Amino acid sequence: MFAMILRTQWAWTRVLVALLALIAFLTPVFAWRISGGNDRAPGAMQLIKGLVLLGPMLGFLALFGSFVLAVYPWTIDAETKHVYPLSLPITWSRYVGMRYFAGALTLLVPALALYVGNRFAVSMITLPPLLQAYPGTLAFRFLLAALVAYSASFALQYLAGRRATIVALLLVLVPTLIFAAAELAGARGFGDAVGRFLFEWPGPFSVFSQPWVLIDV
Amino acid sequence: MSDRPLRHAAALVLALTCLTPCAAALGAQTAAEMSQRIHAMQDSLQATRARYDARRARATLPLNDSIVTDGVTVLFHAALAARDRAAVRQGIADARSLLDTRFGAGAAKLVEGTVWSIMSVAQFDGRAPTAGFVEGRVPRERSRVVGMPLRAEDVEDVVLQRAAHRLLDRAPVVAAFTAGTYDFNEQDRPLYIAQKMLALSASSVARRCAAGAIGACRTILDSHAADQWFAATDTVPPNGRAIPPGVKASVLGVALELGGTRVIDALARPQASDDAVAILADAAGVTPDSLLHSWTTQLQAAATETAAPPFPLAATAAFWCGIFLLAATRRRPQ
Amino acid sequence: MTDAIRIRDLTWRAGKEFALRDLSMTVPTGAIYGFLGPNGSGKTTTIRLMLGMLAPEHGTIDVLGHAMPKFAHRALAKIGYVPEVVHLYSRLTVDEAMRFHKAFFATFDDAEADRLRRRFGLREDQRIGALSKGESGKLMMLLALSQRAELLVLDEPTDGLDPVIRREVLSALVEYVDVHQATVFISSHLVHEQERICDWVGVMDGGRMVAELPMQEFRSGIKRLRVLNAPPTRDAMPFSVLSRDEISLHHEDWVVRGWQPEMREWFQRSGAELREIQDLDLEDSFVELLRGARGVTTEAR
Repeated sequence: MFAMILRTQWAWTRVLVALLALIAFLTPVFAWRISGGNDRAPGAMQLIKGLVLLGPMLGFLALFGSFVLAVYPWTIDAETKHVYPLSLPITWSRYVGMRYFAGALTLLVPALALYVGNRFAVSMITLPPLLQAYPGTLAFRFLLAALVAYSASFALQYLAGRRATIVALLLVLVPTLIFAAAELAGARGFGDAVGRFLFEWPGPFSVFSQPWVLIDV
Repeated sequence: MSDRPLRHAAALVLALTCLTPCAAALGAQTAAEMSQRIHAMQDSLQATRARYDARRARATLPLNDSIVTDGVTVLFHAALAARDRAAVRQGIADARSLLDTRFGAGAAKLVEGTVWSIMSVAQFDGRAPTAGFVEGRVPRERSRVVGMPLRAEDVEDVVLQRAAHRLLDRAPVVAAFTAGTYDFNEQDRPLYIAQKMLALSASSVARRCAAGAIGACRTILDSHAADQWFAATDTVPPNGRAIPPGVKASVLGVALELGGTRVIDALARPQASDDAVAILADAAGVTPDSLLHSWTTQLQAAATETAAPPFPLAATAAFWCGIFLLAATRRRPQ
Repeated sequence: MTDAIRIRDLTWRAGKEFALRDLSMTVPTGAIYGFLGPNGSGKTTTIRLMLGMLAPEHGTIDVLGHAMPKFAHRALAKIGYVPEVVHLYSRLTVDEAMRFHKAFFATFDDAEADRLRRRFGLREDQRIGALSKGESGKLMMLLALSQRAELLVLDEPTDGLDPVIRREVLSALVEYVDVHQATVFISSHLVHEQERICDWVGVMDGGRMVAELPMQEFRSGIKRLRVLNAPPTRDAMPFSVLSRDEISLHHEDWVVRGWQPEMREWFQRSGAELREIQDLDLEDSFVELLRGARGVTTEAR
């Protein structure tokens, strides 16, 4: 059963996954290039500064790419109001679980592409002494971030259904308004507490706030 | 009451006195005379401010409560809630525990016997509730400001910072060596940052030290030659020095790790030498080269932490993914 | 003999209005049950409740011995379902859809599926999204029949299909039932089609079950009576009057259900005269049942 779910997942999302993988592969090279990196043997500080954009770029890629991969298969099921999966002889939670893991597995492709891209980018430069490349660690962090973003998007879509977009907007707007109101009222503690819960370990999105480095000491 | 109006007035007066047309208003005949009058006005303003500060220091803010916890006295000059008191107790306990655990029993003496004052202060924008947290019986405006409600980790951080200052005050040479920057709490991975700064430095000597060359480390850590080893072959960065004080402070950290409370006691003794590395090595009971070897080894080990796969992070991510998946299965489409 | 489907006091609503109210239904095992009703009467909703896709507000549903929706996944393993609208993944091909379906139903018969595919003229590489309405209908029937299901639930399976395809689909269905003795629950508003294959009829209107009776009784037991000097009261009638229309001052047309020839005596005893007995075809019977349920009468002009 899972093999079939995986096959359909792949059939529906392979173009998206391929695009995500291509972007992930090119991002390390692109980040180095747009920072003005043309020197094959850059200095240590130049190299570190040149790749400072890499983290945010990969973070956004993990966030938005995973969101699309979580939502798109749901829309295909929603075309027929989920009648087919509901008519299959499995519980709904089992179907959702299989759909989830099928999508999560496809995230391995862009993570692997990022690993290859990292190694390719590093191969283009001569590392200064004392600096090392961490292509695997960065790709692993990307995978973790993508999985968390995928899971959150998946849950939002399956819980909110067709109202997911509105709920997502509310989830962004309402806290923003609350934080702004708290800031104006001087009650900064609430906003700080929520931010710490979400983005500091062991919060759900702490993986996004961890350092994303390809080259370091 | 803030002394902002006084400062603003002083600035305004000084500005006005710099303008030549105002010289006549001051009744000055020459530039030198004008300068003397400006200085006299500055002295007068500073005297006024000193009297104001003294008055504030003597002012009796209401003492709402006081507690003695783990040998530390805390005076509450503000109305604080029970949870704030709990945060203070917890923070002080955590500070003591950290010192004892890392540096040995007795390291907490850096904290014991101290007296602290907590009072309400207004931020410059007057909106956010904050507390002033300062060592001493007299509340001062120049205190460490922490957010309200109090958090144990903030209390711990303030207490440990003061403990570090107290330790450095005992050994002025070491204080100068570290520029007064050592933090017992070490939440920002100081060894990793130190190694990174050395490795990224424009100075080749620093880079050789990062690679483990003890001689190069001796050179850059030499109190006398701190800013002179750039002269020969290195490019001097715009700020004049490539090695931030935090790098040297990490040497103190390694000495404390090696010697524990022995270092704390030794630094209190009179120092014959002005070589900070030698003082720290002697205090830790090792040779200077041994101290530097331990230091560079720890620096390199800290750097390789980046390479380690973040398993705790992975476990946390897996946990939250599981929560999200569970949530997703709760609703059947209708 | 246990019942394949047993529904009691089923109530369900979407929003403020009740879509189904106190619905009760029994489908005997081995029966071909025709579920009739006008558009919007709640047939598809009933089917979805029956298959566990919706949860009732009140009442019980048992399908093949399993309580629904709690044990829907167990019952669905033995149910072949053909919905009104194509529910298959449009991006799959016919072959992929067959393999996907097979992965979930252990009783899926590959050989039968292939035989039906060739019989229905479907190509393996045809994308489902590109199939015509008739081809989609045939594919859905193919999958349901290849499952070797004990119960087939068909929601308007031939709606919108041309007569040739309709006959093909129904013929395959009848063959399947003959061979496997399966129970069939077929929902439709095409009364004449139901008449040919069903042996039980359930008529639904406005979210309620209006009548549930064997097809034979449906066919022969509903009559239109031309009555002269009809009695004013209807006490102790041996039949149920579905509708009563005044034709002229003394003549009335009654549509009755449950008519037996010996019931003529009742008219004699009541002083009325039974002038004529007309047979109604299934469609007229269906319409009269609905009129009776809605309480529609016609006054003489």
